Amino acid sequence: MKRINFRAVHMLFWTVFLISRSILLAQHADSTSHQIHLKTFVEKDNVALNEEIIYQVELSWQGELDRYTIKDVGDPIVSNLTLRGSGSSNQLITDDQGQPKSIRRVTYYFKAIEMGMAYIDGLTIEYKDNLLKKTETLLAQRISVKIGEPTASMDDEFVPGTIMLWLLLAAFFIAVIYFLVRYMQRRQVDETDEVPITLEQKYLTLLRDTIHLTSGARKEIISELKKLLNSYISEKFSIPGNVDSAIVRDRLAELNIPQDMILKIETMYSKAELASFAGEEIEISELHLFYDSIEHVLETIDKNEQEK
Amino acid sequence: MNPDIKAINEKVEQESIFVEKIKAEVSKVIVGQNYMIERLLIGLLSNGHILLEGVPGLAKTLTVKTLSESIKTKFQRIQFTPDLLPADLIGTLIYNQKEGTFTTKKGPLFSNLILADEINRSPAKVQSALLEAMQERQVTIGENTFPLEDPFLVLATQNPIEQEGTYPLPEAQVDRFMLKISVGYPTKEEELEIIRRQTRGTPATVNAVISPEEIISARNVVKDVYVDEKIEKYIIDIVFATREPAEYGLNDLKDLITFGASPRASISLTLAAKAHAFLNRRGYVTPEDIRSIGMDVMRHRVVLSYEAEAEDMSTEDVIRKVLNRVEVP
Repeated sequence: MKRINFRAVHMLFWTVFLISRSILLAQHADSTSHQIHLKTFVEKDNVALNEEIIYQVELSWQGELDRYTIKDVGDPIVSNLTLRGSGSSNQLITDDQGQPKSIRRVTYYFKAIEMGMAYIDGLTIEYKDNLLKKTETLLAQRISVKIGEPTASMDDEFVPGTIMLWLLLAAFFIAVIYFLVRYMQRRQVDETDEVPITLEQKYLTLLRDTIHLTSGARKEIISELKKLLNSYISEKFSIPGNVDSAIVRDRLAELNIPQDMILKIETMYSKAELASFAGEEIEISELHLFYDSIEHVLETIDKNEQEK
Repeated sequence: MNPDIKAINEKVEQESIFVEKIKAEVSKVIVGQNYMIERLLIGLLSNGHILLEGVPGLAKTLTVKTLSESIKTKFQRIQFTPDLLPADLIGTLIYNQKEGTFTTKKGPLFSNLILADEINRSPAKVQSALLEAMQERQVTIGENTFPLEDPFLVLATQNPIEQEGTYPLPEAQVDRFMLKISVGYPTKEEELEIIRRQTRGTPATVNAVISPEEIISARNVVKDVYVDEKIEKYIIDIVFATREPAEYGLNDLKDLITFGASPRASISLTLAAKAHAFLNRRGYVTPEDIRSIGMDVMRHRVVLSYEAEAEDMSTEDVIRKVLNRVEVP
């Protein structure tokens, strides 16, 4: 009887010991037996199918950050979840007693695959105590998440802010169009207000702006003078293609240019020919004469046209 | 002026005096047709053969005959017919029974001015015999080759209507003519003068005012006429514009031209322009010379496509566009 009692007491002792140990282990799964504390949790344990599940792993200890070296945590083993991304951060704070406290956080972002239950298996985290020079491990508990019906997303919802943004954009575009139209109208008015310049005035401006008698080779200048007059006659009488001296002579006569002036122009053409194709030298005084002749011809035609 | 060009100018002044004399003599018989007469002189001065095209009765034959009379040269008129043989042109070997040897009988090509009347009435073998003589300026009879006399100028005529029973000249052979002149109708005033001359009084007598030696001497001066580099480039541009119209902004002609002008056109254009400058008493060529002669040099050298025919475009229309579009220096 005594013997039985002894065995029963022995068994009872071991049973109590094992139960109390397991209770202790369950209560401190995120180990409090270490000076380093592990805490794992999900932000919401009941999420919609289209929501994101955020799983946090938080390690904290008293002292500086370099007190412990955390080995690579790795990705947790999950079921009914897909890993979307992860990130980690270190933080050094001062606790209530004014002591430094280090926190290392690792965050995982998951997306549920289907409705029902989803699980994140416990993590094993290895760390090294840099002070005691020893390596230990921490175990995190398995976490379950309930996946429910998907909810309407923010995009589908009526958001007053979005409407405001659209209204502002519309107002901006209307303002842009309004100012553009006003600008075009003002420009049209300006254009109609402008006094139209005659073809002769256009060529007079060209003559004065582009032909400089003192710069460049003289044979080039006389050639330019000839081309300018050809171009004027071509435009004035809508002659397609090339214009020659005979055409210029006939058209100038049609425009009531005095015969002596036509003769000067003819001289210019033959002089230009000689200079370009027979190596004839041209005096600067001749260039001045031809320049003045063309200017005079254009001014005369312009005056005649305006008097009509 | 450049001293060399000045010297050429003076030479041209001296040598071109005969031009007015010839024109005066020809005008005794021919009314108007100044264009044709000038082109015939260009051919004479630049040693280039001429193809005259025009309807009957426009004095083509008479003009050539009168021109030859104004020059102290030998003239032969050959009427091309379907039964003409090459031997009728170049000559043949005749067997002498007495001596038992062959003697050469030279044909009418051994002359200075040849009028090949209605050249397209004879078959290709006769045309080839003539065109070969034109190119080589020599004729081979039997085993002997005889050089043709200088000046040697062929003036061929053809009728653009009555195509029945004709043998059109192949493009390759037409290319051997330096100029192709399209002879037009006279004006009302000219035609009135023609009536009066032909129906009243006696026909005028034409005097020979120039010798063949003078023509050859004038030709040497024509060769010396100065052609500036800009003019040479202009010639090249015109000829290339017929080959690659798109490069010269003539996209509308791209599908209308099958074959552009040949290098022979460039040579002829240069030579004819020199002669044109000579006739105008100038020792240098201007773009006006090129533009003036361009049509006659290229009209028979540009081959149009069926698209051009469908669009009713003539070779003249195409060349006119080219001459109007290519930038004048």
